[in-house]
Amino acid sequence: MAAVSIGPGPGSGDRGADGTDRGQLIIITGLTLAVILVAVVLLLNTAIYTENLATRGVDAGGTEAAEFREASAADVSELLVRTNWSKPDAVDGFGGELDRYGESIADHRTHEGVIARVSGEPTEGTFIAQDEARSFEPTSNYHNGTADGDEWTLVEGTTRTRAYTMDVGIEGDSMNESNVTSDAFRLRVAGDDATDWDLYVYQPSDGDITVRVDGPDGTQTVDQSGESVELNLTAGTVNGEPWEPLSWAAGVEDDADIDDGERNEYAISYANGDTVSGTYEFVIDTPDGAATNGSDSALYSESEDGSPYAVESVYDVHLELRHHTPELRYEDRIRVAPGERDA
Amino acid sequence: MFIEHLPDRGQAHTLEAFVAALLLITGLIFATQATAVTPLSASTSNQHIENQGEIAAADLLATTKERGDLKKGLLAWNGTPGEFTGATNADHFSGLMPDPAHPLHDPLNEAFDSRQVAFNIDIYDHAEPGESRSRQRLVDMGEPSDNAATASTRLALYTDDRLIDPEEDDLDGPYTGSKLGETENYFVDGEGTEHTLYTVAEVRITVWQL
Repeated sequence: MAAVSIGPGPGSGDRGADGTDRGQLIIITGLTLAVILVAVVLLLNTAIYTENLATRGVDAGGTEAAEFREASAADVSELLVRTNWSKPDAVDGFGGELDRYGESIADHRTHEGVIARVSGEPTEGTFIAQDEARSFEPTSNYHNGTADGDEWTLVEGTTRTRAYTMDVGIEGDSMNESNVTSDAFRLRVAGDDATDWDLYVYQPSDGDITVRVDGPDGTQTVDQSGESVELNLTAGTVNGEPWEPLSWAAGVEDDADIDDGERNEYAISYANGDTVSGTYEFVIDTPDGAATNGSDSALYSESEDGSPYAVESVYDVHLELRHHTPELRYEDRIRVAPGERDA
Repeated sequence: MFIEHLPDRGQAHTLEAFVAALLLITGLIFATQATAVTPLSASTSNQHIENQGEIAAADLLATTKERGDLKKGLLAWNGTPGEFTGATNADHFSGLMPDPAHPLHDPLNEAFDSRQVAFNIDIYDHAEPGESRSRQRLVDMGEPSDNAATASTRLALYTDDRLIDPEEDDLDGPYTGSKLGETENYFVDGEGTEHTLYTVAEVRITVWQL
């Protein structure tokens, strides 16, 4: 450095005190600057690190709780369907199965520090089905045995129906459009103070199968080719495809959010059942409703080959869910009813 | 010691100080580049990789559970020797299932195996509080690293679920294997066919970078 020269020079005696201090000052200044810069670097680094930590997610376990709810609903729904199929005393049997499910889940979750609880109260209902393909008459000698003509009531006094599936084929001749309401197969849902909801299945002259709905939105029809048509009345599908007007008991059955007690009661009846054949099944929320309240109480107790039957079944279950972690306490009440109209 | 005083000396000192500071910073930059691992630098122990591994494992469990593949994977059990069908190491797999028809082969391959991510899959029976759960390995690729991530899900098994053989059975058709409720040596204990629910098993995946 040319600016700083070490060694004695002319006039050194005069300025000696000032000159000796200057070199030290420069070193101190340099070091101070360096320290300041290092401090700035450290600060910046900390800021970057904090930002990185902050964006790593502050999830308190809400996802886990939501997944717990979904998984429990799905499992209980499957358990309900399977128990209804395999247990003769479905309601008691389902209660036991649900308890064991809840205990198993609780045991598993405990190992991860979660207090989980699944408990529920099943609603007793009735499962009504015709498993063998035959006409939609209650018994084979139905026309001879009753004076009711060709209409018969499957259930009365029910308020909810779920998982109503029907596989219908046409028996007999094609039908003139003008005779449909009197001669075609008709499923009627009739409430006390509401307009009836009707579903017709018939074969018009062109050979297809026509499904017709008479509901609050008027008359709507859809044509399907093939020997038979597969209806899911509560899911609103025809041969697996969604069909908007097929909205089960629209205007007769109350919406699902009206719970217990205040719901409209209705009856389900078939007419001209001899013009079609096939199978059907559904679950109603009334215990043994058909067998005791139906217009013909013997309908389901007469054991005839292939005739429809009614058995005890679980309609729905009110679940109480609890999922407690140190960060989050989650509790919920849900209703599981697989195959309901609004489900 | 003697220092000359000239009119332009102050400027020189300032410059000198800046040069010194620059030298120090250069040294620092060099040092950080040479050694430090910041949270953002890429490595197998990166926190982001851990997070991603956990999410991928949870997603794999969720999707295979939804599609039924996870359950099929658990039901691909051969009762007579007591092993998973096609097992490559004792009663379990030592890596990805070699049989492409195995229901878990494709998802595991796509999510982990083809990306050089190792995974263990364990199945736990439920146990009373205070007791330890019994474990059955489905896939065992060794000891996980310190930066492994895990995810788990719970699966309900029913007494009328049937065992399957992915090599022989048509997995889209009806199964012909024995019912769980009637199978003697299935790897988790459960109820007989007089019940509906066999048991609830927990499936746990551990993933780590190779």
